[in-house]
Amino acid sequence: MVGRTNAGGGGLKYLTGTFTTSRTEIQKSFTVSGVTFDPKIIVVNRLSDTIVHNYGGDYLAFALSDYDNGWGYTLTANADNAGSHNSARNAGSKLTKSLSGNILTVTTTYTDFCDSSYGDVNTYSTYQYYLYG
Amino acid sequence: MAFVRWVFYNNNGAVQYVGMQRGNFKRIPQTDMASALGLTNCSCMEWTEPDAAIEAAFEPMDADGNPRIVNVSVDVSGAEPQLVFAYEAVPEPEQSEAEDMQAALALLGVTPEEG
Repeated sequence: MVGRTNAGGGGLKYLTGTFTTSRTEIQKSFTVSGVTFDPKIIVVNRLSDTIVHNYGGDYLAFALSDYDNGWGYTLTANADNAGSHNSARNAGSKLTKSLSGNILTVTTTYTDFCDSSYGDVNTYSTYQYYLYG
Repeated sequence: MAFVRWVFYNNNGAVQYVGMQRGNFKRIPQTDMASALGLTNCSCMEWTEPDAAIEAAFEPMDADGNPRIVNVSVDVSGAEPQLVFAYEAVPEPEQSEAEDMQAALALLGVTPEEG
């Protein structure tokens, strides 16, 4: 006979989605609707990008935030070299989240979702996000 | 598992926001999402079940697995709005300034030293 102990309750909540950044406005956040749980881990991954002006700027390539353990990992891409070239793993790399009603806003505090200069958008990208809670 | 795809566009058919969600979430009116995004004077095309052809058209890679840039607009000239897709190949990454410098130094037979 095998015993079983149920710890906590409820299954893993999961939500994934995609968004494409604005071509006209510098984007530092994305919005998820109908969120019914407070995410414990958020992952954002760049799927593709369009370089409008190649001024060699950085934009977000990948980010993972673990809120229970208070740290984040961020990888940036550079328009001069479309591969990622910089990374950071620390509390400051964590994406910030704000849940108001069922609307979740996730904001990058490290590198924007686009490269920009003098108020103009130089790159725009499609990202996929994953929320776990 | 819930699903939604939204395409918000203005009167000229220019797309203001494209988003997709799949998983554990509660459906909200598209007007609430537009408000959360700060969009005004926009119309919306919405799918609450995945449409295989639509989802394939939005994929950032083609059927052969080649990455591509997906540009989408909305044709508002007819009785019903229609999605219009245009695809571009992902350009090869340009050589970086550091690589340019290394190539120039190599031509001169110079090996930089760590300083």
